[in-house]
Amino acid sequence: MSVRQSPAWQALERHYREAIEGAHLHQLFSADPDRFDRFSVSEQDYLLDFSKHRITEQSFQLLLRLAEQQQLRDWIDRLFEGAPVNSSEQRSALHTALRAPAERTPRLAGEAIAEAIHGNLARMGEMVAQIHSGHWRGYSGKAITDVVNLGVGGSDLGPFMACHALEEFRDPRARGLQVHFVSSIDGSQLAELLKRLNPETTLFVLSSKSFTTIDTLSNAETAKGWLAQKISDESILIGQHFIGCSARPEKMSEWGIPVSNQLQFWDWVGGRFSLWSVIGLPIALLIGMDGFRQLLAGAHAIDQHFREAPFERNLPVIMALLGVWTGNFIGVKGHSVLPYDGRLKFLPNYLTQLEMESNGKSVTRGGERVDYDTCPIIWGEVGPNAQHAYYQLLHQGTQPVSCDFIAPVRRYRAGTAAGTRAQLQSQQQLNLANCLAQSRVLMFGDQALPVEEREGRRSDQHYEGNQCSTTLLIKELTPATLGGLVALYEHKVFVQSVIWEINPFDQWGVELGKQIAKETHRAIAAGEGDFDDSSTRGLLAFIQRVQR
Amino acid sequence: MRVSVYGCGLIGLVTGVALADVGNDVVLVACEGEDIERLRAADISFEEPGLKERLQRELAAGRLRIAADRERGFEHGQVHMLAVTSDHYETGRELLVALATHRPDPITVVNQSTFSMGAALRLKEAMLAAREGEENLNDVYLLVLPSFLQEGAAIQGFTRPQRILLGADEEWGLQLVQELLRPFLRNQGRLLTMPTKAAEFTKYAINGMLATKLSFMNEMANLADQIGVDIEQVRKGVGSDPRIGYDYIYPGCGFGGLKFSEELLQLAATVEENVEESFLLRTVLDTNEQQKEVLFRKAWTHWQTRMRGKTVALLGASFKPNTDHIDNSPALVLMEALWAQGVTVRLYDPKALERVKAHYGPRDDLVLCDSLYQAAEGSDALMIATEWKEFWSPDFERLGELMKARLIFDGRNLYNPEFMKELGFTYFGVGRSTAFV
Repeated sequence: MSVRQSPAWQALERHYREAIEGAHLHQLFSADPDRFDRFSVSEQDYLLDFSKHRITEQSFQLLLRLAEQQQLRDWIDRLFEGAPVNSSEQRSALHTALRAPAERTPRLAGEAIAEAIHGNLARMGEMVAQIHSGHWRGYSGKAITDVVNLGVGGSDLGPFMACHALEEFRDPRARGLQVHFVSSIDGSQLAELLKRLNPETTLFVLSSKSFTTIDTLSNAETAKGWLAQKISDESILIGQHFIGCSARPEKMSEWGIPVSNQLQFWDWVGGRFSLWSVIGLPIALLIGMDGFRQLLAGAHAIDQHFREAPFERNLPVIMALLGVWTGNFIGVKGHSVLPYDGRLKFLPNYLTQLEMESNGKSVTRGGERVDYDTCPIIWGEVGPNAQHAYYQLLHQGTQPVSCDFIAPVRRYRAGTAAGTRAQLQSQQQLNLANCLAQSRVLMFGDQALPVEEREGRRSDQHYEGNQCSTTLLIKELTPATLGGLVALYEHKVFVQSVIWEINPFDQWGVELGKQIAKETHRAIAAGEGDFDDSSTRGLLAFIQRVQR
Repeated sequence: MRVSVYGCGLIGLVTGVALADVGNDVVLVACEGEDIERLRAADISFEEPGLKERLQRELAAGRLRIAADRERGFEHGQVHMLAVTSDHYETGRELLVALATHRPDPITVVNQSTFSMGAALRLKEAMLAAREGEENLNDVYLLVLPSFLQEGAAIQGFTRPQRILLGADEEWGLQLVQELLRPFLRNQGRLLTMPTKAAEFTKYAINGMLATKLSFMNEMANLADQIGVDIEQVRKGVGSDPRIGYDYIYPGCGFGGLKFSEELLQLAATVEENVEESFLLRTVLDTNEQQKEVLFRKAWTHWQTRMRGKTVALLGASFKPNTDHIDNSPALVLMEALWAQGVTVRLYDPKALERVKAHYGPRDDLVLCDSLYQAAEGSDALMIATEWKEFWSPDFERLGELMKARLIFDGRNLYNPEFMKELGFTYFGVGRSTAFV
């Protein structure tokens, strides 16, 4: 039976038609003066305000009942205990173990994984120390000044997002170190970068869980060729200029990476959940191992909260249920993530992968096709910039859309250029004002204005309002709160997968394209192969004409 | 005149002795933790021709006394000379503040220590602030007498200077100090006076220029390595141009010492906040830090990165010969680079071993040796970091027999590459293009 036919779901559908469909958010607010107290949770350094959702106390209780019905508690326990929650691949998803203290790390199939986790973390720490001290040497004996992360997807988005967010927490020992990210298969990032870098002082981090990712390996080959112009001894070239991070040590060895340069993670860590593993090496290089451990600790604190807090006060559970409510009952197809903080510029990109690759599924764990929507389209941008881009559609378009407003509150307490702090702090106030104003207008529409200003407005100046949003305030962005923020979304994704009865930890949808690309590549490179569609044939013909 | 000199390093001792010699009544205050009894016995920890004898003479004559408590200095001097090392700014500041509170009358201070730019004004402000609330507010005179002493010729440099550079912001203090220095300006010497800030900046510019000459020549040496010419021939050619001269153009494995330290060559934050940093000097210092590892890099490429388990005999730890100081010494950077690759260092230095021991403490990969031959025993290579005289002409045959391999990395270009080749040594100098010998 589909969850859609289940009692809790059916009750929500009835409730929506009877109590919510015709109600406007401004009515809900005027009906309940305690709405904020009722629908906000303050936990650790975070405040989650979900009062701007089209819910009543009854909606909330019914959503909680849905979670109970789907046996969420059991699923959470199974997740943390290392049960094979990745059902299609019969694997655990133990990213939470990567950030747990050794004594809280579960055993996996009777095996203690704490040792492996902390062993690799320690080895990563040694490498970081060597690079920071200037004692990791390039082929000519000079210290490394530039580290280039070669990775794509989970081996890129997480570290890239975090490094951008945490620049102000740069370890003083990393003062002269530049960390770069190269992901695209077309080599465009690499081509530009290699013009500027010095091969003597450049170190590549080759990050790929499977170590077969063609995007990353082709970039690595280009990097190797660049170095080979200067150094002919391949063992020195790779030994001094490549570190490998992978779940496939034998593949790393095959590629030539010596064991001493290998960092490992495991099948039970999903790629998009891997920034907590050695895939986080670029983060540790930037903010130091202490900073990296704070990132882990912040995530672990949210793990504990997720495991222990009752659902009605459980941040990831609430975030997930709101997503289910807006998507499955209100009919929202697009969800926008809007950090009001330039440091979080790449958080939306990161969450795009985390949510859509996890929950962009249409069959249940049992293989049945679902008859309800799963993950919506997620997109986002730094909020104030998006205000000048697509907020028009949020305010006056035809789509119901939900939004997450995310804003760290305290900023610029230290580390600003001389004479700029006061001005920057007032910019931050302006920024926060915009954040609160936009969510208020989305909810109230015209109703945010006094009656006299509202009347007599033309229809193209009309704001309907009634768009739902969540606001997540964070006391201050630090390695720890960034870790917690990411963990919140990871668990939100997991909770939704439990409601939707899908497996969030596989990604079969990315396989076929890779496979077809291989034969298409033969067609482009060697003119081989025949395609049964005129579109591919026509495009290939054009490419071949131009290449000639 | 009654003069108090604070600091018993080279500058303080030379100043005290020279002033006492011309009849002044000098109290020399040991304020940097020196051993007072050894000083009273004229037992000094560094070599400076003639200094010991003169010190003995002045002590015996009673024109110079050595005091441990600074109050004796405070009460004694009409002029107070501050001559502490450049890393003792805080000591100096604290001492002058104490002086300002101790003496209610006008005070004349001459700062000979090399501090960062603007130090004179900051010190004066600190002294005035200490006197705040008392009657005579602006009666502290702080002059700057930058030191141009060259080790080995320091006494001559003080008593028969080519020129004396004196920074003063007020007439009163200037007259008094001019009188004090008059005996040294009787013949050809000239007195240049200028505001204290200008005097400090002159010293800054001189040190910056010397550092630039050295770093430039090191860069030329590294290029010479690649081009395949011998930098020694080039150095002689360059030095023969009188506009450049032979001083400070010896290529090598970097320079050290306090006067070329990062702190001293930093303008921003020491003078005024909005002063630009010198881009050129920043580059000079960065280049020099790289140069300190030049021997490491030569060994790294020679051994094709496989250095773990090797043993290197290192000759010289002090930043220059004839001193036990190791501040910013290239040898330290070199040792740390070697250790990080798993290399054991057998170190010999005629004077600086104690300081090295204090700096690093005991470690398995550092063996302190009593002679260069002992250092060479069982080593895979010999490295030279400081040009002590006794390293210039060792018994190479004996060295070769003691070493596991006949391999020399010479950071001071002491030896002749062709001769070394004849002796069967693989020899790397700095800019000696060994590959082409």
